Amino acid sequence: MRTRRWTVSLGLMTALVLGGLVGPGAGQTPADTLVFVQGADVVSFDPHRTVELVSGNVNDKIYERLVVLDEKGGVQPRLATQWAVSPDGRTWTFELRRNVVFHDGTPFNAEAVRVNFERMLDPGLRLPTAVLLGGVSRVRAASSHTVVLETREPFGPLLYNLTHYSIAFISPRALREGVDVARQPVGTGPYRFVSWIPKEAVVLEAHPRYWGEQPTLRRAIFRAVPDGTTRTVMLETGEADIVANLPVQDVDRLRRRADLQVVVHPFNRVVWLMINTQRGPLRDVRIRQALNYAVNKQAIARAILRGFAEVPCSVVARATFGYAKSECYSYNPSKAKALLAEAGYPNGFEVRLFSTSGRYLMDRETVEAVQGQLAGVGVQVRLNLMEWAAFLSSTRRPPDQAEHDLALWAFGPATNDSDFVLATNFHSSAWPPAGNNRAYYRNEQVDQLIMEARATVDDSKRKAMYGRLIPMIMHDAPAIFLHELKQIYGVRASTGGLTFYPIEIVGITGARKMR
Amino acid sequence: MIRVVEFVARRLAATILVLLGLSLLVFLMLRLVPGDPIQVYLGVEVADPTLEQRLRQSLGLDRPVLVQYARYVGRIVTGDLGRSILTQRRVGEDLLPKALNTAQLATVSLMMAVTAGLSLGTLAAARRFTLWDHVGLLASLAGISLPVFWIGLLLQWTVSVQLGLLPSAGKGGLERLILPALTLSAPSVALISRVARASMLEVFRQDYIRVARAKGLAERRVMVRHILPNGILPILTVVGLQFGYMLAGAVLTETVFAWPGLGRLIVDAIKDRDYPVVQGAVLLVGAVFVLLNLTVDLIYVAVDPRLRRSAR
Repeated sequence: MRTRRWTVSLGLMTALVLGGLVGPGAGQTPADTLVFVQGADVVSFDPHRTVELVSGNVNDKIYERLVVLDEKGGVQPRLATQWAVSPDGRTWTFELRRNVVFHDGTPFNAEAVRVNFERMLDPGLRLPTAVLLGGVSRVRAASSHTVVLETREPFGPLLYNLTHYSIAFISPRALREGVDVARQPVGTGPYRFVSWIPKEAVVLEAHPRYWGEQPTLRRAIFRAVPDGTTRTVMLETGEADIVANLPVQDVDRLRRRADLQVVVHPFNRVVWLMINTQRGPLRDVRIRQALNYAVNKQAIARAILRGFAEVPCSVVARATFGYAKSECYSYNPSKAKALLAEAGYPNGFEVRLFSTSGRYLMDRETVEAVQGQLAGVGVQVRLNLMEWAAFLSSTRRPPDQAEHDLALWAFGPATNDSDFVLATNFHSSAWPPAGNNRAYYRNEQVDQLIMEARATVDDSKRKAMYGRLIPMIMHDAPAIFLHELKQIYGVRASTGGLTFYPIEIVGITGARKMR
Repeated sequence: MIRVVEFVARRLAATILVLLGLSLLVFLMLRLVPGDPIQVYLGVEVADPTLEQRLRQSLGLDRPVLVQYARYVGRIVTGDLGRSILTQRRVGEDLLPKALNTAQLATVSLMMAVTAGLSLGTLAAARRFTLWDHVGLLASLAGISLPVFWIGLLLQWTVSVQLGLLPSAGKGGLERLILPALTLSAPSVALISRVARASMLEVFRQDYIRVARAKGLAERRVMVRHILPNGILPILTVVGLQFGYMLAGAVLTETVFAWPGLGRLIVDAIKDRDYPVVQGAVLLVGAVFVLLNLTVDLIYVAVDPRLRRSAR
């Protein structure tokens, strides 16, 4: 009796395994569907509630903004067709695109824009997007398709800030009727929402009444796969058409395959080791410059990041508006030693370096290399590696309680504007815990210039101001300027027509599949 | 029978105490670990103390920890696990489907582990010191010592990439369940087969087996009627514990195969310091663990006539 039962269950198991083998194998994704694999899942479909990139990349397909970044990082019209700013720089007038409808059929017009801005700025809703609109005091609909934004002070970066994927427009009807847009998004974008199973997949389909060119592929599926190697495997088996953040160790192998392509694209994310300018020997600018000369950034970019990074000669990335080439601090250990000796530390000193581990591309390996290179000029580094949440809070303390001498910090402005980089990381009002200036850097002239540039609405004048500002910060060296990262995507050779931007957003409207 | 009911009732009462203790422990531990859910939510781009303070207030995170705990327990009693700080979704709503996914994976995995483990173990015991036995030992050593994620990657590489037989990751039909279940079962197969072998050998040496053989029973019948039923108890304990381990410890397998289960939910929530999600998930795993142990104890009573008599 018992033996029979065992035989039966063994038989069942075998059937189960074989049944699976006969079933649909790895194979390819459907011809009318783009499968996009990212490392994490969407946090919220309410664009005003999340400023993070993975959600941003999905919301970018569902919602639209007044203006958007182009592939080079400049500003292009989207829901606004043209705009003008008043001579006093405080009133912005946007002409809106006509014949645009939300996925629920609601027409897009000036009133819809007004309702959305009102929502973003409502303090009771506690929405992070409000921070990007710091200067906006009033939004009114001047006519059915004309919107006027008023700012308290002239606010130069407004246009770039409006390209942020969070400043997107939700159907006013959905908002009025209390639709939970965090789970049931209603936008004007080329794709509309179909379904979402958290940590599994988001399914979108083409919006038939889209005002622009219809997406070539009818469906788009975004999958969340945290493990990099698994993402590579999915690309190899054809279960994914595009995967984000391809592990660098897989790149060479995949490049040898004819059915796959590796897309490497410039990225506006820069990585720094913020130097605590309020502590001991680090108060001396010569010491901070010495640290910059002592680190071989070229070698780190080549050997550790395998060429998927560029050595920076500026505070902001090359793609960022306002970029100005300045001091490069090329590797020069003897100059570093001379500067240390001149500052009174010929035998170096000891510092504590706080870093994340596994947050940014090769972050641990990078700081370990820095540790070795700084030891070469006599500066002993004690490493303190942490995971993200612990790192964030333990490096965001007031200066008198700060524990770090150096802290790894990376910033890629989703607005692609220097103002975002400089004001939140190098202005003295952003000292922790108020902000992200983990260098506790203060230069009154720099502070003033950042604010002056912010108050300049003429972009060519503003760019010139950053051209003066950036060399000042580079000279003061409040950070070891490590590298500018690149984005690495794996794409099936049969998939084409994708658009890449200097922020981690990929345009899929033109995506097509060749057979 | 009454004694059994009383036993179950007493154990269930203890369960509530255990869960209360567990929830307090998790609650305090989460708050001792450095990190702030609000900072993680707002990320790198937004650092605004006023906004952070307002968010903290609205979530009650500005209250003393014990007040927060009391309010939490008060809500749990009404069945409300709260909302995720990050996604604002109801914890219970997200927890249940993920727990079912993990349960599905663990059940299939356990079936595989029991079938393979018991067969291998019994075979090794019956054919002691033969090639079978040695191969079994080697296989179980491998199953125990090879890291689960490595086994998973190896399976993906051979079965999915090279042979193109099964999809590599994600959730879907049965074909997506096989590789993760196989991976998750590997250490359990090893453990169960070893315990089965030892337990069977122990029974082999008993006098009643000798008697059974002496009275001329066929070897198969000796195996099925006398050895298996007597050797099964220690194996049952291991199987019960392994099931608990699979439910709680499938994190690595779930990560490698992008299986949307409880393990991944917990790890992501810990990384994000999403307190309500971690608390809810740990509470659920704890409850399942305790109930599983109780079930194993009850199966004991059902399987072992000696225990049945004393329970009666």
